[in-house]
Amino acid sequence: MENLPKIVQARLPRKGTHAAEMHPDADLLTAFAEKSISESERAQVMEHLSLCGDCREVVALALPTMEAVSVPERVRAARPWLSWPALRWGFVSAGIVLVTSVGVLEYRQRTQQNAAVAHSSVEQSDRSVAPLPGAVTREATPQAGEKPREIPMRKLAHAENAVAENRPSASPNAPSVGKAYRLGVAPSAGAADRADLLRQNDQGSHLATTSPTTESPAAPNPGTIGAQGVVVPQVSEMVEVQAESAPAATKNQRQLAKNRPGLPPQSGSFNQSKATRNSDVVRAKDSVASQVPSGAVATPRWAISPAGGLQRSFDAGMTWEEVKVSRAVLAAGSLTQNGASYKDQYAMKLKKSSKQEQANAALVFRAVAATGAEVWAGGSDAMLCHSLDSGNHWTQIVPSEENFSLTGDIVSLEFSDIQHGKVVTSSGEAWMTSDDGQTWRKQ
Amino acid sequence: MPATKPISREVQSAVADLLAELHAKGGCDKIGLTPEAFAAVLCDVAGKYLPSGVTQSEARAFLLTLRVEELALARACVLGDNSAWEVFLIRYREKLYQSALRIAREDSAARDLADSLYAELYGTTTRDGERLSKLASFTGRGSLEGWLRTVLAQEFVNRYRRTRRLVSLDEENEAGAQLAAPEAEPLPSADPRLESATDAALAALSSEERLVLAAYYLDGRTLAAVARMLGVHESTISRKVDKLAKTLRKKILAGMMQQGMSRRQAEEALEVDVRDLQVNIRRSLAQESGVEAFSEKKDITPFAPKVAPPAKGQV
Repeated sequence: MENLPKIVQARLPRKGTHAAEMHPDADLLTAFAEKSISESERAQVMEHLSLCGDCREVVALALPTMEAVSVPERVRAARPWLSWPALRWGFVSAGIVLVTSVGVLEYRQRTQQNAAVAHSSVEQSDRSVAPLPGAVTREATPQAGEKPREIPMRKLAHAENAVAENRPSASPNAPSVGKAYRLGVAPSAGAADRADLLRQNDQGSHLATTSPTTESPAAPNPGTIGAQGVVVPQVSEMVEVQAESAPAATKNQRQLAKNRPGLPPQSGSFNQSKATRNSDVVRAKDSVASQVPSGAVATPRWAISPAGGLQRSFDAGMTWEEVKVSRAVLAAGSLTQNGASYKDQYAMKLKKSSKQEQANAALVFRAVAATGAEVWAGGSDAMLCHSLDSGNHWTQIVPSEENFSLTGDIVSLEFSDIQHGKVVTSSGEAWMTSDDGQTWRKQ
Repeated sequence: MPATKPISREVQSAVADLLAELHAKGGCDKIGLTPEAFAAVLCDVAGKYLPSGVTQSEARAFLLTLRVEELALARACVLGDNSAWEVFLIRYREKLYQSALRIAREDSAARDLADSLYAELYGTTTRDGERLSKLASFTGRGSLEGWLRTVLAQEFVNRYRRTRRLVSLDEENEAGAQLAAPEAEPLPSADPRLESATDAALAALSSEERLVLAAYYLDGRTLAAVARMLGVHESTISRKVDKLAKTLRKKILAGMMQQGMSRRQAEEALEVDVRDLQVNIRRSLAQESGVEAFSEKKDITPFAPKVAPPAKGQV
């Protein structure tokens, strides 16, 4: 800084002596500091301030809190450094973000795989033996034998989910029975999956090769099933999971034999074309299922997108994924729940397929509430959906009481715990449940 | 605050014109300020600041720059409206104490300062049975918050000067006894040619430039503080101060040379003079204001007195 000639400093204050007569009032000084003052007034105040030390002091003291004033020295010294720490910290935080995001991605990929495996085995144990909609034709078998090798691991798992889902449930059975049931007679839902299942079981127990002998004579189509039992000596990752239940499989196959007589003898009626079409459905299902990364691992957060779509996040809100709940998915879900026969369901699907696009249009949601893995979502047209598995599968619920049922758009959903919840609609109705949505009462 | 001059017809019509709009904008209904009362307030403010020969459009433009909401609030408080006081306290009470603390830099003094202002705002002094609130002098030119800070700062400066004078008598006695010997009577000041050249150079500056010089060199403010006073960036002020110092030096030299000094003489006069001036400036500063005693940065102006002991004659 250039030194000001001392004489200048000496001559400056003298002018101040006569200026103290008329100080600008507080309003003008404030307006000056806030620059809400006309030019001419500003000039006047400036002139006064250049002469009056007191008013300069007042203006300086009255400056709004920011930096400087109280610690002017430090701020001045710190100035040149301000930008550097910021940059340094910026670099550090950018690095952390990078590493974390890579880690999260990696983790998610891994959990996705694990979850898929775990999920499929859970599915298997949950599902029960159901009336078999159709046995498998011989035509489907060769295809089945070839396909699995081309299908990537993840897809297999998902496909299996889908198969399990497609299978209507009726009588609950021991978990292992469900498995045995698969072992022997896979439903006609997808040739690929069937073969896959068989292959897994082959690796686990090598029993499938002898399935004709273990099958009960009462089985409607033992030959068909036997033909499916192609040995596929290929080791896959599924072995680990399947191997645990392998010993049980032997037992269960015997149990299965007992169960078989009850199965409807649909064997020959199901032909290749149906199987193919059915596998389309499976693929459609598959696409839904593949959006599900890790239902078993973490409970997601839920939100409604501005467009009314459901969104969930498995990473505490860092990333959100859309969960598509369409009428088609709901229809399938609710039918399954209601115990409609597989055939009905299938017929329904065929009928719906013409209107597939329309039905697939995502629903508009207004409210969502989640307790652990249980999710409730409500939207327009009294649409209330319930999921027990973090949104992987949905059921439509229509709260009703005697002659009334819920109408209007659902605008609010509250679930204080799994059992107790309240739904409020745009028409002002409030519905309460205290048993996880089994029964409702209107208020 | 009585209006000193009669309200011109132009102002009145401008007020009447804008009254409905401003009354609504100020939210006067909620705080019990009738349009008539508010019109009187607006006329009052306009009459205070606008010159007599103002046109209607100028008056209009002026009225539109006012902070009507805060103005209405302040005036409603003056009139004693309870809801207005409630709003005022909620919005400004905490800020007032914070500002006082920042200004006084010491808790008890800050509390004292804020409390006394509160008393004034509430209007404890009665004249003819009427409560007079300091808020009546708020005219909405700037923000109410800024106004409160300014009023606090004014009060603080006034007080500080009072107490400083009281205290400094003792200090001066002591200091005077110790410093008596070195503190000689000031010599007759510098070369008159130098002085006149300096005055001429300073007179040529704009008021803003003089303000910058005074705030930086006399008050010892930081560049950042000066910049904030003027609402510009610090670097602008830095450049300005640098440039001013250079041009002033040049101009003074040129001025002295014009008055018949050689360049060398002129330069010598500029340098040599300093010590004499130091005494001079002390005297003038001690008379002038308490500014120096506030500032923390006296080092920048090495000749500015710390305790500002004036010449003995003054005691």
